Amino acid sequence: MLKGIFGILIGMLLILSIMFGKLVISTDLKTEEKVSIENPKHHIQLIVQNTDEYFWTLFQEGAKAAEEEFGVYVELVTVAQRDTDDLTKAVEMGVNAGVDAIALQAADLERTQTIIEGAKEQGVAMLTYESKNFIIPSTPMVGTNSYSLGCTAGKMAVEASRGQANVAVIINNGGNQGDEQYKNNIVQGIMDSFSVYSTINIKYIYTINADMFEAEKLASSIIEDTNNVNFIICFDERSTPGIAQILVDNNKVGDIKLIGCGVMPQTLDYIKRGVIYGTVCPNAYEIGYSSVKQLAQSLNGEQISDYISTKLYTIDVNNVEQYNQKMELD
Amino acid sequence: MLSNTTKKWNWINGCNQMIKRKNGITYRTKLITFFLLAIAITSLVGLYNYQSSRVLMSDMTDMLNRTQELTSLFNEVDQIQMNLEDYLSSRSTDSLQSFYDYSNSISHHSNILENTSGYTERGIKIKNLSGMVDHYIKTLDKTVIAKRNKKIDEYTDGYQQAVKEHSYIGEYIEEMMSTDLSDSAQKYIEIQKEIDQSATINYFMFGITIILITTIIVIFSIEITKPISKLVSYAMEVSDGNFDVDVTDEKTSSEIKILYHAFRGMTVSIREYVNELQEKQRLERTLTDEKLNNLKMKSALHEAELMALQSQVNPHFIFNTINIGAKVAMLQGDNVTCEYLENFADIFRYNLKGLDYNATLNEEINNVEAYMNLLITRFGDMIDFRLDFPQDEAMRNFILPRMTLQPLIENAYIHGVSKSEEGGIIELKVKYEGSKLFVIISNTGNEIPKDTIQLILSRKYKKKSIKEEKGHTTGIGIDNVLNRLRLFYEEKDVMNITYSNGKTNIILMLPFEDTIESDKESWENV
Repeated sequence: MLKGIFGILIGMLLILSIMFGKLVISTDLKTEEKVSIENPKHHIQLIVQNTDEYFWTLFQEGAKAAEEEFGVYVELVTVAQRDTDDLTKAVEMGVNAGVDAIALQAADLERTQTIIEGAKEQGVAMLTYESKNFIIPSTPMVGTNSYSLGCTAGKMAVEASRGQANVAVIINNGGNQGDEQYKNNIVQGIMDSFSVYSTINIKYIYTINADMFEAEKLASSIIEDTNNVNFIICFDERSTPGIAQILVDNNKVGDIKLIGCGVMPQTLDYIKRGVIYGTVCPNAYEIGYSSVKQLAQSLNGEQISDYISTKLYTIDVNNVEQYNQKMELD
Repeated sequence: MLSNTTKKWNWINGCNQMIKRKNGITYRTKLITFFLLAIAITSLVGLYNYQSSRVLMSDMTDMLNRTQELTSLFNEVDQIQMNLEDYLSSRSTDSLQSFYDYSNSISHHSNILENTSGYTERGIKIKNLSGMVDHYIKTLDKTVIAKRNKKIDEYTDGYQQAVKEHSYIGEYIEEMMSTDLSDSAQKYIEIQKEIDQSATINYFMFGITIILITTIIVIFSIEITKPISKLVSYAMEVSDGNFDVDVTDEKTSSEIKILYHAFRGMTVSIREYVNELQEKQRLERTLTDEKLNNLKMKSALHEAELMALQSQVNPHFIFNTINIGAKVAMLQGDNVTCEYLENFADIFRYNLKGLDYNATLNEEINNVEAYMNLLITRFGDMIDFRLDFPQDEAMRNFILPRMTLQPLIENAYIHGVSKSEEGGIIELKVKYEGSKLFVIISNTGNEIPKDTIQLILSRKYKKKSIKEEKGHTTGIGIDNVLNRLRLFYEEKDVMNITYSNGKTNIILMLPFEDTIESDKESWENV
């Protein structure tokens, strides 16, 4: 019996020791803040949108990968979605703080250009990423090529309609001359995809502003007024789920096919349900990685390219589950 | 003495080996281990609680310190902004002095903050803040200089820029404080949750430890006192003289085992010692008895010799006189007288040899025949002597003490036949039965009372006065004969006296063994 009691006491002592050790170690771990990189050569700020979209998760992973590779510290500064005032403030604060470089997603053309020019005057290297419709002059850019975007969406439309469709194209509007070039590139890409088929044509091209519900209104009018349109390609990420909902509400699912843009959860859900045929997505990881890489190389005095075109990928009903699983795993 | 020391050392070594045995953990080891474990467990529980509270306190203190640092910095920034405004509006020297004081202080604090921060999530914010503060101070400096130079446009723009940057710094600090509070609260909740869980387990184990400690104390108390009480009862038995007490082992610690082992060894030693003492005492008593017997034998011999000497008044003269008398009688043709004197001379010669020499049975019987011839010559037909002595060499050579038979024959005549006026019969018969040689001397006459017979056979030899032996030729009585036979053969039952068919029988029962011859030498040497 004594042996048993001694055994229990020793066992308890061990458990307590382990618990105590765990407490000390976990406290130390909690107290110590994670240092991502020791003595970085440069401090780079990436101004990102304050959303939980998967795009930003991948974008951050790509940026952190480049951080380790190029020996720079990457700080992510969040702003509200495409808010120019917030963007301006973030850039000014970054410049005042003395960061070496800033990468941002342009919210407009003129003000963003002014901000970038101001920052450059303060000696801060600037770069824009995934700013398809706002191309800032003399500023390196990383992102999807708008012609490729149009091409990819066009090929998907051909596949979905088997070469027979009247297509309405909805493009978001930057409001300036840059927008025209962006829109032309997209349309050119789509038309090149359709060129081998005479039975698939672009019937209408609409441009929308940043208003959330403008695309929905437009979709309703397309359904009601132009009965000959049976295919919609929307290049605005946030408007894609709204248009899909209009198709559902008007019982036009199947009659009018929709190809969207981006990987918003609602978009993926509509793809799974068969409302949206598919979506064209930019490679966020590559965009994040390339943005940091470009800025790091520029700060090191290396010559960099003005434009890095990143790849696109498509999601349809065949691979949407696979994509969701990958997202859950990550 | 040496062997006792060796035994003790062996015993101590045995005890040490027993201590070292696997199953023989000492109470000292058990108690030390137990108390160390109990102390360690309670200390760990205490340490755990202390560490838990320290962690929580430390976390909160860190957060408050960080907040305090930021608040202090922002207060200074506020103050310098006010000083700037004062200076721009009034150009007061005091406000300018205060402005520079705050400027130095802010720069100093800003540098400290920047130097103590690393490239962590919060550290980079501190660096940013520090950079923003430095930029702000530079903007203020430029504005003040513009004011001094009275460049209105420049200091107006500078002021607007300063207001904006002041606002940025304020927002940034607020955001940082908010993040710190949020992080700390999150961390506090996580740590508190873990600590609460662990504390529950801790207190549970503490409770179990208390129960186990109580159990162990009770077990130890019983384990220690029970075998000691048992040992006390064994000790009581030993003190009552029972050295054969069965000390059974107790299944307990080695100290108690050693105690039991020692106690068992002690009882065995005492028992052996007592046995040794008893044996020694017995041997000493036997030795004393032997010495006493020897003394008695010597005494009997000396007495017999004394008596014989006392009866020999100038024996050589008497012997020569008798021989001359016998020759004279023979020359005168008196054969009866001659034979009488020759018989007397034979008896006398036999006597003269003394008692130190043993005799064969044949020599003794010849002496008895000579004696009886004297009596027959003297008393004529009143005495009828009958001899039954087989012609056996072994019997005839049988050794016995000299002067054994003649005193008994004489006794038979004096106390038996001579008491009767008609005379009587004296018989001497020798026979062999089993391992005994029987020599039976019978005589007619009155029966000896049984009490007297018992008295003769049982009483110890007692030296008698010469007067008491008066009437015997040699002065040697039946007591002397009996005593010498007992000493010679080392047996008690060598004689019996019976009465049957009107005859008193003195029966000698002598051991008829070959070893008698060897004993003869030792007898002669006494």
